[in-house]
Amino acid sequence: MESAEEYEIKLLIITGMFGMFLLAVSFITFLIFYQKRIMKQQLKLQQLELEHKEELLRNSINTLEKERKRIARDLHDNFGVSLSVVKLYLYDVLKKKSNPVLIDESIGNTNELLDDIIEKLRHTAHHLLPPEFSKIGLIDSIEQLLEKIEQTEDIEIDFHYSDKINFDFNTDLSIYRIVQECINNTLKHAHATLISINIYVLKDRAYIKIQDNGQGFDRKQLDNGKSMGLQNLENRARMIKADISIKSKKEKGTCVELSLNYPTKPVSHETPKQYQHHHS
Amino acid sequence: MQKDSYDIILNLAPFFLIPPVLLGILNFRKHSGKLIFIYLLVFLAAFTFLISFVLWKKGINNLFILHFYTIFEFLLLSLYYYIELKGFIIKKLYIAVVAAFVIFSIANSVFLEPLTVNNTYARAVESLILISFSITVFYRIVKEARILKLEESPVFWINSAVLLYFSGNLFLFTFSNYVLTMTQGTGMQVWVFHSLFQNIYYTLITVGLWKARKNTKLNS
Repeated sequence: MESAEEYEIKLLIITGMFGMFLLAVSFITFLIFYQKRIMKQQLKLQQLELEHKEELLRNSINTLEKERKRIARDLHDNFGVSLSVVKLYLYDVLKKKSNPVLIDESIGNTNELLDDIIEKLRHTAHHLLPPEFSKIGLIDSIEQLLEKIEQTEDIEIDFHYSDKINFDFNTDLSIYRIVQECINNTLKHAHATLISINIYVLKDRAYIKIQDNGQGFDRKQLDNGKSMGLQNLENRARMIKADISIKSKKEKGTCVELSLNYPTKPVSHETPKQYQHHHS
Repeated sequence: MQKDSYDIILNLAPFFLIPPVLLGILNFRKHSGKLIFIYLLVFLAAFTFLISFVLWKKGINNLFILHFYTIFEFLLLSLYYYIELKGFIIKKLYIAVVAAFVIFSIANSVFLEPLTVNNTYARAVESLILISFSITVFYRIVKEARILKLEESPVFWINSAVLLYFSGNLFLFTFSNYVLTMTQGTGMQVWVFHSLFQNIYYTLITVGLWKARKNTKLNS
């Protein structure tokens, strides 16, 4: 027969055993539910990442197709028709063999047209990739680009750099393309009178700032095409591990700032250059 | 009626050892690494039960076996957890804890609780250490989030077995010498819960070893 004390201690031990056991069961149950929730969130995140990558790929392909269309259109509009006319002039020359004056005239016209074609070809090639890009470097290539724009567009350009930054070919080209794209966007949409480009190095980071005084935009109200253009800028920046910020307000202009790591090199003793030209 | 159910639980207890021992015999050579220690653990448990049973039948005090069993059980589970927690814990600290317990256990048997009584201090401390190890493994599982389905992972089942068994029996291990002084009926009421937790322990280990066997088949 168990005593009262024995009973109490037995109860204490059994209660303690079950208490600890239930605590362990609760812990394991909580863990199972918590882990399922974490895995669900992880899967969701992976899904979003995958969708994002697919969207990036789609954008890249669209951009590529757009560029191909533009090249095809340029080739057709600029060269297709002109070369046909050259052919007509040459046919004329063959027909007018007996008349030297008319032959001279046809040859003169053909020469003029060929000059025009060569110039357009140079312009198209330059737009695709500036010749000697890898030799002359990023800053000089941007300068050349700005010179060409000033010759054809009615806009003031203010270009300032404190350091002739240079990366590997791919990074240089990506930065060049971003600058090119920003300028194209300004020329097409902003109705700006001034583009300001500023390149400088601060604490092992290179900064490229492209600003205009145009009409600005509200990103949420952009149509698909323009929105894709901005996404392309962001994709290019991401590819070279650069940070990009695109700030714009209606009637207040647009500012695109690109920054990326630029390990400190020996200081360049070249004096800072300011490039400014007013197109009259 | 109550006594019958207690008898069933107590008498069935050894049979819960059979599935993991069989799995161990079938798969011992196929597995390398940490699972070998679980197989050795169940073999040790079976061997200990047989020796204890024989001694009990002969009327010889078999409590001394528990002193040795505690040390070997702890070492085998520590080795298992050492591999499981590799890279997640401070190696030197882990080895120090294991070594400290082994020394404490031996010292306890020599100086504090002789071989004729339960080694309650050692069992209680062992329980606390193994509970800590199992919680650490669960923490690692959640933190690293590498296991997609917990229920398919052998680690989950084996670790749950250790946590539930040692948590459930912590109080009993601490007061087991006092339980021995109780009247037989009262003592039995307490030990039946130990058997219940032990049955759950070996069942969960069996599930874990079965899952491990399935995973090996899928990977081969």
